[in-house]
Amino acid sequence: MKVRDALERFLEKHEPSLYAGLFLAALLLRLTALESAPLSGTEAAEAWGAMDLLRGGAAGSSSALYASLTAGVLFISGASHWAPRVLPAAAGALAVLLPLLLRPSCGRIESFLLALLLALSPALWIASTMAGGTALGFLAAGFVIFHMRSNNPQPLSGGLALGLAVASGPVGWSGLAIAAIVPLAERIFQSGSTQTNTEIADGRPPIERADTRPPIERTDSRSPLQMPAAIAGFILGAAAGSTGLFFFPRGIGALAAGLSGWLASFFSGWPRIGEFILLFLGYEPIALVFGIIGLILLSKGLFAAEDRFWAVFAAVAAAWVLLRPAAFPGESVWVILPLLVLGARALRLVLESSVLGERPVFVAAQGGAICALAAFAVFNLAAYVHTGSWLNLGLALAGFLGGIFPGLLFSEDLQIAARTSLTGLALAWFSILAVTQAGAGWNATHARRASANELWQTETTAADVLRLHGALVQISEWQTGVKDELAVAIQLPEESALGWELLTYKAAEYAAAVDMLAVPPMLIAPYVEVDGAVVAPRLTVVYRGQAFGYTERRAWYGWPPDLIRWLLFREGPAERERVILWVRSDILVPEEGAVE
Amino acid sequence: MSFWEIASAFLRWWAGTTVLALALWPITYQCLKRLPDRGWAFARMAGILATGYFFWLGCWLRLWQNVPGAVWLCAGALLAAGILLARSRGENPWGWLREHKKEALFTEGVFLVLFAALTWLRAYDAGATHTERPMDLAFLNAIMRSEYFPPNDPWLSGYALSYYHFGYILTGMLAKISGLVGSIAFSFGVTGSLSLAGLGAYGLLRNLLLLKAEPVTAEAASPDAPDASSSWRKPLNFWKSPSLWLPLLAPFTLLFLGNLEIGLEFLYSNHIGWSTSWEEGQNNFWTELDISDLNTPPTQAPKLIPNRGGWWWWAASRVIHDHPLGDTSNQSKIEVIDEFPAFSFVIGDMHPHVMALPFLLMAVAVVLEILLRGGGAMAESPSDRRLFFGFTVLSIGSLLFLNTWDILIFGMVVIAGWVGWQLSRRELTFGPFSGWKAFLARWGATGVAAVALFIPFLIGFSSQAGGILPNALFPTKGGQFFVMFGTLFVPVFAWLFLELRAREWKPDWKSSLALAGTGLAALLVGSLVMAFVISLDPIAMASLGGVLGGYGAMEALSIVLTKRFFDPWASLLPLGLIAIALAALLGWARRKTVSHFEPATDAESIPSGKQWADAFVLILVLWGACLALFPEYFYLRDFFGGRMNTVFKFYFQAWAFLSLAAAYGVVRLLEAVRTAPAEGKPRRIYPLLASAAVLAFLLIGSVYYPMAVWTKTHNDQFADEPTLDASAYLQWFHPEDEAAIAWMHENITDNGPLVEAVGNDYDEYAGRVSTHTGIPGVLGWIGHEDQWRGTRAIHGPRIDDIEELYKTMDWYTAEEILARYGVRYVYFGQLEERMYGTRGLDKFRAHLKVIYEADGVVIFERVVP
Repeated sequence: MKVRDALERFLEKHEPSLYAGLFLAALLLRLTALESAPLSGTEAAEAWGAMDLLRGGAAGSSSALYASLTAGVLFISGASHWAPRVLPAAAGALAVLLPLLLRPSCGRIESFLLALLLALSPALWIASTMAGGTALGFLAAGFVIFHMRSNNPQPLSGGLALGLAVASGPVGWSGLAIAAIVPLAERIFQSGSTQTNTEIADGRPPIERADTRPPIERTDSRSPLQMPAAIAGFILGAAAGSTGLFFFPRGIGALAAGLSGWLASFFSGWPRIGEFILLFLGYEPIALVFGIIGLILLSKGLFAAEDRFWAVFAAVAAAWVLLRPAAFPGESVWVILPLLVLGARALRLVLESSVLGERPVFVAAQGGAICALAAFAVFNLAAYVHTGSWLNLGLALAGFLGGIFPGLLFSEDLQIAARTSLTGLALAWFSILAVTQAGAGWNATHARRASANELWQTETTAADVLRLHGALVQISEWQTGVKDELAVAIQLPEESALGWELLTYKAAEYAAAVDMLAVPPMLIAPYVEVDGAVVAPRLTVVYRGQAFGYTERRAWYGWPPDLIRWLLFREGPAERERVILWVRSDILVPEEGAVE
Repeated sequence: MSFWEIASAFLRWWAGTTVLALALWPITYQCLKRLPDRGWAFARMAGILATGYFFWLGCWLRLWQNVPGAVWLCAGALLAAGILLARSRGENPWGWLREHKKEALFTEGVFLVLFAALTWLRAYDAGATHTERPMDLAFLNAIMRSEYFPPNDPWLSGYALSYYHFGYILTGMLAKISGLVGSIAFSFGVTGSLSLAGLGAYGLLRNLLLLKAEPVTAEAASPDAPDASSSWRKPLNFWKSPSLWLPLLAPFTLLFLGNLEIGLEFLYSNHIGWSTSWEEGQNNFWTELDISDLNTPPTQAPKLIPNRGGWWWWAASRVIHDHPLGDTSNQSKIEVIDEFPAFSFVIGDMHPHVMALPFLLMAVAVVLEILLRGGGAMAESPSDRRLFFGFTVLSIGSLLFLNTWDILIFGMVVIAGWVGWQLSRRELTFGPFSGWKAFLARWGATGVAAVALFIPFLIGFSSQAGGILPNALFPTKGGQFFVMFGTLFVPVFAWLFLELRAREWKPDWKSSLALAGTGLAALLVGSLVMAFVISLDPIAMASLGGVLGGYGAMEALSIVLTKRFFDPWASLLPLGLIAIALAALLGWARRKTVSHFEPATDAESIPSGKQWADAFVLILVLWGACLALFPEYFYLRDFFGGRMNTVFKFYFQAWAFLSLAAAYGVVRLLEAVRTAPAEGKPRRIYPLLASAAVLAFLLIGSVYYPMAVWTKTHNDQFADEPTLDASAYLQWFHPEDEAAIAWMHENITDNGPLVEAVGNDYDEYAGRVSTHTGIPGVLGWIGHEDQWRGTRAIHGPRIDDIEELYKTMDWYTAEEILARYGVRYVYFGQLEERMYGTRGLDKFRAHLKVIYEADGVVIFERVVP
């Protein structure tokens, strides 16, 4: 137990700094991603919902909490790329601190490991850099769930969190619904468990597993003030959350509208099994591994009561997401969370095992070898994607297999226990997967031109939109001396990603059609081709046009046509939508390459 | 629609109403706690009403949009509130439901059977093709399309609906949560309302019969006694319990019973009473009775089963009519409507008086609860009192918004409050007041609060009502009155005589006759005085010239007085009911005040369950008779100028109340027949004879409904394939419009407005696009807008503008008209072509965007820069 004791002492001394550092790191990672790309169509819809609320209209967002709070942010800061994303980023960073609620019952090590896993989880990272209610719902409902599992739930704060979760929209509702279903599902699993009745009754784990956690003592203080306090907290949380601390009463409309959409979504679409698997393969391989191991243990009834809750939670959440196609990908966080909780438990057990202290040099060397072999395998895989050579594929396979078995092959000769070897192997692969995950998260959030093939975006707004905005500003300055004075007619909906981008361009006017007698200086129209020729607007003067990329979306569903290419590079068929900026010919001197 | 589509729609509507019923069950259970069934039969109405109220209020305040999620939000909040309240008081509504699940399921079964049967019948006559069905459909579609409330007027763009439209909002709300379109929800609006009304009637009579069966003990009468249902005697065999089956009489008398006109149809069809030697100008039974269409000799050969062709069954709703004084040959008539629920279903319009019917019966249940609570004199906890106050105020106040005429039930509330107070033998307190002051304060506050709840509606509502006028010229013929109400009056009178003969009541005839006589005299003198005052106004006299027939004012009044004297039955019959009911109620009202908190121990002073039940039915009789009597002397002045609408609305309510009383009366008669005589005494003849007479009348009245429905459903050309879709008929008659309208449903989500041809009222083709889409049109049925706005000043100019818009070839003139009304869509179809020609079409093509064109229909979109 030397490792455990050392970890405990370290954490005891530096815990506040570690959590603070983790929170700041998580916040920094998210904040730096906010301005990197224009809002996607989905994000723009949420942002416009908040903007409508700010302007005194109905909130079009599905999350009342998001819409009302973001309306406040917009009031202070104005429209930008980061304003609609800042609250989800803050919520995502705060979610890293949720494990503190479980610290009294799980111990320091486990809760910190969980915080680390949450901080590293790409799904949560990506979700919290996107405008919308996903991160807020996860934070609020996650607080409720963790709070109820802690050994001293407080009615007022629990009620408040519940109210905020209700106000947060579909992700929060799904989390609460799943948490409500889990106890029922647990009874089913319990009746099929192979544990003895005594063990099931008091939740004691099997004797073989050393459980060093303190016993869970749930306080059962039925004070007469509990229910009223909880109710008061709930009403306050729901009301204040929906209305942005009562500044935007019409935020309740978003609650109603979101509820309509959420209920309707139960009756539409097909299960997206392929994409669900891809989500774990591509973004959360660690959670996937934990999930597979957990499934095996659950089927053998080898879980203690507390662990069983999380295992069943993961199973119910997976069924929920699969059976509710509209839930994907936002609500997948509810599958990932319990897997990470179980993973933290597993990691703790590994770290507490004595094996690491026994042969550190061997473990390190084995780990290094595995990492090298894994890197070799990935390199050959990438080469295979580009060259199609079977040699590269064979080498990649050899590298992966070699990364699994080396310790086992040589351990007997080196008189090293298989357990030591396996432990080292597990840690090495954990590290590799962690790096992979981190890369996936970084690419999805920080790449200037996020790929349309990311699962977390149904469409992305091309970086060309920024160039389009820039072109408008330049032409206006050229013509009038002011950056947003030259009128531009836009034949696209105002409440769109482009509309959001051009919010700061004051002379933009939106109309579904332009009167043929009107001659706006600039016109943005959808790019339409007929028989290979671009369709020009029916106007009475000559215009010159330049195409810009607008949105991109995946052109495949369920499973990518080239899995390896997608796993490694997030490449796949994509549909691109373009717009044309038409400028009146008297404004622009013709340049080479311009479309006329 | 296929069977499965109909079944799916049916189940979704049923499921939606069931969820709302369960959401409000905890509150209903706590509010209607003195009813033996704890208000289970009214849970559906309560759920729809309470959820609908908050949903409407939120949309009106623009807190949320008109979306299903808002409905669920309201329902969820009400459920949570109800559960919290129940827990804080130690109540267990779900436990009660488990204990009484058989009774509860049977009650649900009654509703389900009624709903299914009425829906099945409706499926053969769903089209919005006649009378005012297009108007109802237009309202419903407009409400479902409106983002917020007040909803748009579908036939006058730019204006909100000016009509009591809460029923349409509730139907639209149910459509939203059921995921149904407006044209299908329209059918359920009718069948759902009537089956809920049947459920309410069943529930009321069942509660009365259970009350009647209550044992009389001091403990049971104590204010601290457990709830009424705890002393509910459970029969040995559930399925043999009379209180299970006998209450089915109430939905029968309310919904399916017709008036005696159908009996006359049989006689007429067989030429009974028509002599072959009859000549014009001669009087006989038929000319004396003077029922429309039956006062001239039959032209068809004698037939056993009547079928004069066309809508022969319409005559049952036009039994009563007036004639101008100068019309000695009875040739010209002034139409009066005397509708009853069976007719309402056959005609199938989704009118406010139909949609309000179940909520009117729920209000009657609230009246019963008020009575059983001793009018507030029984000890109640403050929270209980507040909760019930809120429930009462919502139930009564909502009638203002559902069908403003139904607010008259407030009179019954006050009467029940007084009777309950008297029967309770307790001191009444309300805040710092006691006695009569408390009585006035309590019911005054109730009235004010009921109105206050619906201020958002009232501030935007412009009623066509313009004061009360005397009915000095048109006394109803006694024969016609009896034809109208005979099927109800006979059972009620029979029951009253049964009770009087049994000598269980102790009627106070002196006070009653004095009151009733005074009342009648006040009505008569009041109407005469008012008429005299009006006669002093030459302008008023000039406007009455047509009906006075050349007589002067005093001459006319004396003619009318003579008519009233020689044919007083239209006044005497209801007056008789009033006198008897008053006598019995006043006889019970012995002023023996007991301290508020002291339980009554004197067995004689404790009202028995039967007394409560009888008292309640007497209140129904009293108020129903008052409603039938009032239009004899006064009417509300409205757009129509005469008493047509007043008779319609008063008689419809009177039918509702008297039908319940009649059903109770029939049950009592049957019980009397079955009751074995005391030892040594002969069997009483009266119950037998009375029952036979009553059953004969009921049998006659019961034939109306099936015959009328059969005729209606088999006369329609497209009734072969059942459908609940009110717009489905378009595919047979106007397929090109049907396709365009379907396209608009799919592709247009905004509220236009649109412009289309203006046609005649009651023409289903006029205003068809706005009717079937809900997109507000510049102008729809002109006459109806005249009624609702009270003036043509707003929409009059639109008639010419629309014509100009379609006909002109000058774009700038057209553009100016389009801009004036903010038109977004221009519809050009067969009707427009027929009315305005095609010369003006080219300008639209040149300047507007064509968004749809097929089969001669073109839809243009005007894009506002």
